[in-house]
Amino acid sequence: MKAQPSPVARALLFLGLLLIYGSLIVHRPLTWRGSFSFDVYDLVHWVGVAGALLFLASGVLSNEDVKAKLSGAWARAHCPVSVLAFVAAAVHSRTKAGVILPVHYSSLYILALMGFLVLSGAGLRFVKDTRYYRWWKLVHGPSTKALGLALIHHILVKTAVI
Amino acid sequence: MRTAMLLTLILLVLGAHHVESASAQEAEPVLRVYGLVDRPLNITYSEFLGLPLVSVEASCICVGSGPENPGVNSFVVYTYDWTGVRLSHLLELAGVKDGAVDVVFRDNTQYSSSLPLLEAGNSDIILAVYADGEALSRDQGYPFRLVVPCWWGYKWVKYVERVEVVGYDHLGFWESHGYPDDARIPDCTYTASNPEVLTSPSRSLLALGLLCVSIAVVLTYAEGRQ
Repeated sequence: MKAQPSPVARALLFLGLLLIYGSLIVHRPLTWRGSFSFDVYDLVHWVGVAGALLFLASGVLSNEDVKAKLSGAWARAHCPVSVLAFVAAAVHSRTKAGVILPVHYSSLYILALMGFLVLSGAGLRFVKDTRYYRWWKLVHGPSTKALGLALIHHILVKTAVI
Repeated sequence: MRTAMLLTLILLVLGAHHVESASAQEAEPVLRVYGLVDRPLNITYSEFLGLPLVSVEASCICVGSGPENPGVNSFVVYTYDWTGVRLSHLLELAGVKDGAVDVVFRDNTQYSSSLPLLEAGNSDIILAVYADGEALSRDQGYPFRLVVPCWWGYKWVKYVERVEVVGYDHLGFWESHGYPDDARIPDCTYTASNPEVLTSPSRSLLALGLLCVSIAVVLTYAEGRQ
């Protein structure tokens, strides 16, 4: 039986990751409510959309019920799809200004969360030493949930819904 | 798998609809900072709002008479609590190169004006996006308007699109028609409030988040020791 992290530790990590995201978005009480552009030729936006879809697909592919219905490579597709999602997010998160502005902090934090997710996932899948299992497990679940919520907020803000 | 395909389809349909409706809208304004700088900037309006904003209460005062006698019959155009980003902060982000002399402000027409680089470091000179807490109207110079307290109005360039750092003494539109390049208003005073209206990322939330993460790590470590 591999050692699991306690539910309290997981809940605290989830809360902590969300609070850090919150700290990066609440410093802008003044927001722009004007029009926005989402140029169909702006590849970087679409790479971001692809990244979000891949992240969603990766989540679906990690579901045990779904995996049971799939066979062969599809049943093991969760890992490569997650890595692809991370690569798409990394391309998407390049800044137009060439410098990192405060407005980019929350987006880069989302990218970092995705990085944690991929790293801990790789740890769970490939590291055989069970002493570290607890740590991979601690990071993987809470950062997935925090990333999901942060991503929804990110999409709603960037599409000027909120 | 069917669920995933369905969700993907829904998102693609929503995305296509979104692009269709957005394409008709006006593109987001962008401010360019270029010239003798290490890192040219293209800052979108929404990115600009994320920069540290400050406030300064000042009056834009029109010259009122001809270049031979500037200041006679001058009149106050308007006084607001302007909010924007310090020019010095933008130049710091871009990194001004050696040999720079003037900072030139251009709108999308032929209008331009400039400030000496030494003056640009004045913390009360801002590129404003708000007047009395409201987004600038077109008349006030939306999207970006230069605010130079105690300098004549022709230095307060509206609709700024480009900020160029140059290595020569630039003469703008009115300056090249005879108005003084040094447009300081004699004996002028203004309310130099200049408070920071936006802070850096919330320190209390960040501290609380880091505390939660630390406790989670310590708990897991302690469980591993048992």
